[in-house]
Parts: sequence; structure tokens; C-alpha cells
Amino acid sequence: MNRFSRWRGGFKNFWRAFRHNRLGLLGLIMLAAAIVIAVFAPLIAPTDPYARVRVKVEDIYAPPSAAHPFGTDDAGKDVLSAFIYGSRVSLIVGFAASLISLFVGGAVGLIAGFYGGRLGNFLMRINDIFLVIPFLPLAIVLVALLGQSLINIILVIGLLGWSSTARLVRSQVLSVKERQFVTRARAIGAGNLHIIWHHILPLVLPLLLANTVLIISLSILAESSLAFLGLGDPTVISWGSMLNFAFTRSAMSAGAWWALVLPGLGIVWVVLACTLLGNVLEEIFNPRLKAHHLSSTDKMVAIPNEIQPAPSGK
Amino acid sequence: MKFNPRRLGNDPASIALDWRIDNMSSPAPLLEVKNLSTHFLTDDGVMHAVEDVSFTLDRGQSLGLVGESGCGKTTTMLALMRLLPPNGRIVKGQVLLEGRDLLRLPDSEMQRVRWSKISLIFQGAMNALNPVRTVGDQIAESIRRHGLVGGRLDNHALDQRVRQLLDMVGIASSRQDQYPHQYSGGMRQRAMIAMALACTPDVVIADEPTTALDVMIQAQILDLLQKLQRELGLAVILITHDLAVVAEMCDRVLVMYGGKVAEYADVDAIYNEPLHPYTRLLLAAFPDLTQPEGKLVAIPGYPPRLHALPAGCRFEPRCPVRIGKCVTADPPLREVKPGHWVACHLVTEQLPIHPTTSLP
Amino acid sequence: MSLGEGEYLVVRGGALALALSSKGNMNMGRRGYVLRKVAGSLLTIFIVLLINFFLFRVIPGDPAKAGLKDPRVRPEMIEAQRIRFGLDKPVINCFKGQMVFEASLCAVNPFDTQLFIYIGNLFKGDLGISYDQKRPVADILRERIGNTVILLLGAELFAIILGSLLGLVAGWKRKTRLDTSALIFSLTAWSLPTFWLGILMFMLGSSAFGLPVNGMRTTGLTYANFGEELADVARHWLLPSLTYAIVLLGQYMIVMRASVLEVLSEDYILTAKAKGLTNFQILKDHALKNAMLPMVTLVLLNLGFTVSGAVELERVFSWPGVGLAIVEAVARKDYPVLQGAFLVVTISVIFANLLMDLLYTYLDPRVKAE
Repeated sequence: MNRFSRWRGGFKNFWRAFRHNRLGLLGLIMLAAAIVIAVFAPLIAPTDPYARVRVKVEDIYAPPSAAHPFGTDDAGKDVLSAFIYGSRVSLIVGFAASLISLFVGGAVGLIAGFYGGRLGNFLMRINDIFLVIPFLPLAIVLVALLGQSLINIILVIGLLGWSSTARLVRSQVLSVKERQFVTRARAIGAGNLHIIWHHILPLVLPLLLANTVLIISLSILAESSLAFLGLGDPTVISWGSMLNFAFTRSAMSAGAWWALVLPGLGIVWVVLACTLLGNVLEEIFNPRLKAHHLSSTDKMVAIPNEIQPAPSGK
Repeated sequence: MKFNPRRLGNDPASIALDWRIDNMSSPAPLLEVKNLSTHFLTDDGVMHAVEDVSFTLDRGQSLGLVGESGCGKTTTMLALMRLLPPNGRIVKGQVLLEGRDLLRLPDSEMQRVRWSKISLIFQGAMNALNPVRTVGDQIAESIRRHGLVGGRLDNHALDQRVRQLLDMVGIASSRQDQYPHQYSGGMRQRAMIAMALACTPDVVIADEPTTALDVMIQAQILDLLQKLQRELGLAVILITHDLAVVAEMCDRVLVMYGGKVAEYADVDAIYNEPLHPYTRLLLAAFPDLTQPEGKLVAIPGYPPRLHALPAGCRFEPRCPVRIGKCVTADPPLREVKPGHWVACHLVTEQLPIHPTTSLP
Repeated sequence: MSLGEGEYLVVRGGALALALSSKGNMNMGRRGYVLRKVAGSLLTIFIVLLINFFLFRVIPGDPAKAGLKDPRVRPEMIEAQRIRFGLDKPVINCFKGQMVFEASLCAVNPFDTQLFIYIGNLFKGDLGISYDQKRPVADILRERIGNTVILLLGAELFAIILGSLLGLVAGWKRKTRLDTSALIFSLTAWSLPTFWLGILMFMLGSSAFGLPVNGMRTTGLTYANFGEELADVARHWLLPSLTYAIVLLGQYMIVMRASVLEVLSEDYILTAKAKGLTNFQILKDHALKNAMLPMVTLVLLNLGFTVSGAVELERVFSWPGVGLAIVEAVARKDYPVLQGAFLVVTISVIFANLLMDLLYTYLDPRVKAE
């Protein structure tokens, strides 16, 4: 078996299973749509939300109209355009931060699981601490101290999200390490790197992938929360910052529901997409039995041409 | 007891057993299974797991159910108690317990029958007990459920009963407040036995009760089962693939292959005059301690795939004495001697069918 | 849902591993296990103290000294601050302010460094003085923490109870329409940012139901008796609490459902069925307790998230709790309050974790002493 055949075969099976899951496909389409909107934002958005414009008082919180399908915000600018551009920040932060979590967490988990010993214990101790410290307070403190820039936010979110990945990877590596084929590989003289690449990684990557998709959704939520609390990068528009402005500038009492609903919907859309994807990946890589012992057994006695026994309690 | 094998329609593969019970000369059989057939609906198609299994069980009698892994032994027993997984279907047959067909009972009735009339000792009791509840509690649960402690829940009487049961199987009654993980493997199996007897059932099905245990414990468990059977007058169905156990413990033997009955006879007949080629190979495969130099006989080939069953005899591909008919026609189960049933063309062609007129 | 759901992933992927990893100490007996866990928590707290301390000393902009330039801070306060925190002393041995290395400071008495002064102050309950309110941070937090607990407790209880029941039913009725709709509901609830749901509830609650959406009490209102006060607080509590309950509900339902599916596939459920127990009896007496164990683990791991959600909700509804204190402190650059609140919140979470951990030993007999 050559180096990639194990990977290739696995991918084919995976795709087959994935195709049949409707929720998963829905998630994929939703995510793809969001990415397309983000990438082609300048072409899609009716106006440029970053451009300086003169506004009249009546333009502020103007309800939806032909010119502004989703009304205007507290600064009189088009909500729809801001929404489209806002997708960029949310997605960029989401993906970038999760990449950091992925690599850091994956590496830590792999090392801790594979090499174990004192190093492994030490790493897990640190992991435990990160797990226990509440995310938002620490993130707030860090961003407040480091400064509100996009890079900082990405770093903070990424560096606080690695702990669950590490734990997951470690437990998977531990269970794979003990399996027979690893022992056999060692017996024929395989080195550590070879074992990791050929045996352990193929079994760890699927779970890691499922985990990463969920980390992406968490990162997007984290960015929006930080932005909502006023800790976002003030030079960019994100869905969280749109909501922050709307909230602090009395969109509620102005009845400007459009400024509040749309950005939130954007967040929900993307996060839900990732969640659905993560869910289906989880189901594929960690298949659960299709039925359990208490599943309905009304049809168990299926003797044809007979009056079926009456199920009880109906 | 009189029995008249009859053909049903033009289907040579099915035989309806018509039992005419002579109440005067013998007590009715406790359990009669007639033509029990089970399918499983799987992604790869319909699996014909069990077909036309028939047998009877008298009070106090013990039946050994023998066969390879996957031949349908456990499935038959689960079907009997209507405990099949959700993709299982019972498509034919009757299960008469004291004359009542269990397959036609409503669910609520069946729930009342379970454990109080028939109980089951699962294979591998390691996980069959709930790890977060005490053993005593789980035993008591079944007694409480079937309302067997007075009319009301008398805690003292319940406690006494649980102690008595544990005592019967040789577990210190102080252990009733312990959890399953605090028991050893053999103890857990014994606890399962105690639990299976809690409601004084008429029939106990023991599914490979000793497979997961070491030989010394095996002997203990089997002795225990035998003792209990004698003392309590239980009818026992013992599922196993260990022929030595069957020889020791059972009155009658049902040999299954590929989901069908291959041979069904008294234990002496099975051991001294095995008729079905599969039975003979099974017995031959069993190493003989008196002949340490003998060659080990193995049965070549593989068990049949239950999705794609041949038209003829299921054992035919591996059978050393197959004849032409075996490929095209599935041999029906025939009584070739009093109380001795075989499903094999070769056998039935050599021995004429004997309708009997007297008790076996 | 908002932050910290990574913890949920731990549950899915191996939080049972977390619980099971504690199984490894079965041989130590309950006492050994408890001691180990307590020691672990104390160590974690200590490390958090260190982190908290160094964060505010190391990061450029030295907030500890920032107060000196803050116009709100009067000279007397500066002097008091200097004495209290030893701001002219070395941070720790060998390092002076801003973690600049200076060899001459290595021989200094370690207890005379900012670090130990800080720890000493903590033991005395002194968390500094707020720049903005000019009173002890500890007092401010003490007033607020009760409010946060009030907010969270009701929502948690509601979500745990209802989430467990719904998850149980959903798992039982797998592949039915009930299950699918429950799954969709919980996945969607999961995907909602906590603050956004708060905003929606804010708009809906105030316009459609006339419920109050600001703070904990109606301003300027005097109460005739405690009952009136309670009623007023309850009306203010309703919307934020409900918001949080929904968010948590989605989460707990997903986990409970997953847990139930695992449990119902276990052998002992088949045994229970064979014993002739009804479905209801099996669910109640066998499935529920086993399926709840991962729930306990989840609630435990979720405490970090719980706090994060509180921060957001308190902002939306101006609920005077610790979360709002943090938000205000950031906005007003009131670093003592920020630092103190972070510490209090984190230590609370660690303690709550510890309690839950110990509680778990009572629930799962496999973890008990032999």
C-alpha cells in the first residue's frame, strides 16, 4: 500500500457517506454561500460601507426601502452593504483563529498522547488550566491590554481555543497507540515518525476535522461577542460591531429592528452551517448504532395474513 | 403423544407438525416452538437468520442448543422472548407456553410473561448488569415488577428473598449492596443466574453461560445450574457450542446449522447414533482425551451467508456425503426414529419415516 | 450559545474520558481522590493568581502604573496605591517594573517584592481600589456577585431539568419526527449568539409584553414591603433569565440526547427489557441515571461558558452583576476592577468545578472507594 492509498480510500468512503446526509449537505451549501458573499463582497454590495458619506438626520435608522432593502443604521449607512462586508471579518477571524487552535491543539495533543510521560502530564496540566479559565473574561482582559486589532483578536481567540482540540487529539492518539497494528509496526522496526504519519494520523485526522469545524463556529461566535462588547477592531466592520453600534445607539427604542436582526442572522447562518457540518462529520466518523434497545418494536412480530397482536398502551 | 407429520401444500421444504396431545397419558409440554422463522432487515438485504425451528420442552427437562457461532441459536431464543433488535422480524411460527402463543400476545402481556415465566441468562454477563445500581437492587427490581412479594411491597420479605437467591448461587448476602464492578467475572455470572431465578420462572434460557469464564469457574457454574435445575424443577435451554457440556447436562439436544434445525434428538441418540453429517463432524471435531495421537478433524469451509442462501441444503457445500438432491432441494425435518428428527436427504432416504404410536 | 462550547466538544469526543480518567484512581479510595482533586484545584488557583498578576505587569502600558497618570486618581490615592502595592518595589526578584531585568535586584528579600505583596493583599481580601468609583474593588464585587448568581441559577436549573427530560425523550424516540424537530431546535439554539438572543428577547419582551429590560429594579421606586421588591426584581429577572435558559436548554438537550443514545444501546438495557420492565420503568430506573452522568460533567465543564454568557446578558439587560462590572471596567479603563473581577470569576469557576467533581464521585459508584 503506498503512502496515500490509505488516505485516498478513506476519502472515497467518506464522500459516499457524506452525500447521503441531508443536513450535512445543507450545512455545506450554507457555508459555501457565506464564503461566496464574503469573497465577492465588493461586487455584491450596493454601496461601500467604508466610504465616508454625508447623511441627513432622516437617513438614520431609515426603515427598509427600495434604496436600502434592509434600511440604514445609526450612521445612516446601508445595512445590507455593511452586512455583506461584515461577513468578511467574521469568516476571516473564524477560520484564522481556528487554524491556530488546530495546529497548537493538534500538536500538543499529539505530543502529549504519543510521547506521554512527564512532558505529556505537564502539557495536560496546562491544558486543564486553560479549560477551566472562563474564556470571555480572559479574552476581554487580553484584548484590553494588548490592544484592539484584528491580529490580536485572532491570536487571542486562537490561543484560547486549543484546549479542547488538544484533549480530543490526545485521547484519540492514546487509544490508537495501544492498538495492535501499532505494536506490530514497531515490531518490524517502524520509527516513531513513520508510525505517526501512516498509522496514527489517518485515524486522528477525521475526528480532528470534525472538531475543527466546530471550533470555527466557536471562533466566529467569540469574535462577535468581543465585538459586541466593544472590543472588536474599530477599523473594520463585523457583524458583532454592527450589533454593538445598533445596541448602544438605541436601535431598540427607535424600533430599527432591521439593524439588529440582520447581523445576528448572519452569525446564526454561518454558525449553524458549521454546526450542521460538524454534526454530520461526527456522525460519519463516530457512527452510532442506528437503533437502540428501546427503539420501536411494533413491527417485530410480522406474520403475514394474521391479525397482529395489539401493541399495548395505544 | 401422537404426532403426524403432514405436508403443507406443495412446498417440500415445510412441514407442519401436528401435535395431538393425549392428556391422559402425559402432561402437556411446557413449551412448544413451531416453525419459528426470523428475518433481519439490513442494508445489504434481508437476512434469513432462522427458519422453521421447532422443538418442545417439558417441565424439568433440559434442552441443549448446539451449533456454530452465527447459526441462529441466540436469535431463536431472543425471538422466543420477543427481544429481537428493531430490525428483526418474526415472520412465521408459534411459541406456545402452556398452550398460550407468546407471539400473539399484546406487548403489555408479553412484558408480564417475561422473567416470571421465562428468563434469560445472557452471554457475557460483564455488561448485562447496570453499573450504577447495586446488584441486590437489580434482583429486587424484577421481583417487585412482577409483584411477587406479597400483595404490597414488603421490604423485609424482599430483602429476605434477595438474600436467599444470592445464597443459592453461593454469593455472600452481604454483597447485595455492592456494585457489579466489585464482583469478579464468575460472581457476576452467578448473580445473573440468581437474578434469572428471582421470579421462579418455569423456563430458564442460559446463553453460553460459561464462554467468557475460565475452566474452573465453568465447572462451578455448570454444577450450580444442574443443582438448581434438579432442586427447583426448572426447564432449561442451554445454548452452547461445547458438546461436553451438553453431554453432561442435557436431556435432549437441538443441533442447528445455518439457521435451521439439523438434528433434534435425545442426548444419548445424538452421541451414540448421530445421523446428520454435521452432527457427526461436530462430534468428530471434538478432541478425544483417550486418543491423544489422533488427528484433529476440522469441518472445512465456511458457514453460509445468510443473505444469499442456496436453494438446497445449507450444509451441502461442506458436506462430505452430499448427493445430487442436496443441491436443489432443502431437506425437510423428518422424524426418522422415535423422537429423533433429522433434516438430511441421505438419512431420510435410507431410513423410512416412522410414525410412532407410543411415547418417546 | 456563545463561547466556551469547546467544552462541549470535550464531552462529545471524550468528556466521558474525563470522567473515566478519574476512574483510574479507583484504587486510591475516596479520600485520596478528594485530596488529589483539592490539591489540583489549589494549584490551578495559584497559577491563575500568577497569570493575573503578571498580565497586568508585563503587558506594555503597565496598568498598575497607569493609575498614576489617570486624571481621576488623586495624589492621596496614588500614594496609598504605592504603599499598598509596593509599586516602587521590584516585581519579583531580579525584575523591576515592566519585567525589565536588573541583576542588582536578585538579592532582594523575596517577600518584599510586588508579587508577594500582591498575594498577601489577596489573602487580606484586598483587591485594590477602583479608579472610577474610588472605593475598594472587593466591595464592588461583593455587591454584584449575588446578582449574577441569581441570574444564572434559575436559568441553569430550568435548563438542566427541562433539557434532561427533552433529551431523554428525544433519544428514546430516535428517528421519529419528535426527535428530528428537537434536534433542529437544539442545534439552532446552540448557534444563536447569547447576546443576540438577548436583544431579540429585549425587543419582543418590552414591546409585546411590556416587561422591563433595564437593570434589576425599577429606578426611583420605593417598596412598601419585601414582597413588592421581590415582585419587581422578578419582573426584571424574567427576560434575561429566560434568554439564558433557552441557550442552555439547546446545549443540554443535545448532550442528553447523545448520552441517552449511548446508554440505550448498552447491554443492561436489554437485560431490563428481558426482565419484563415497561419502557417507562426502564427509562426511569436504568437509563436516566446513567445518562445523567455526562450531563454532570458537562455542567461542570460549562461553567466557564456560563460566566461568559452572563457577561453578555448583563450588558444587554444592564443587569448589575459581575459581568456588567467587567464590561464597564473595560470601557472606563478601570483596571483594578477588571483585574479583581477576572480573578474572582475564575476562582469561582475553579471552586465550582471542584464541587462538581466531588459530587460526581457520589453519583458514579465506579469512582467510589473500594
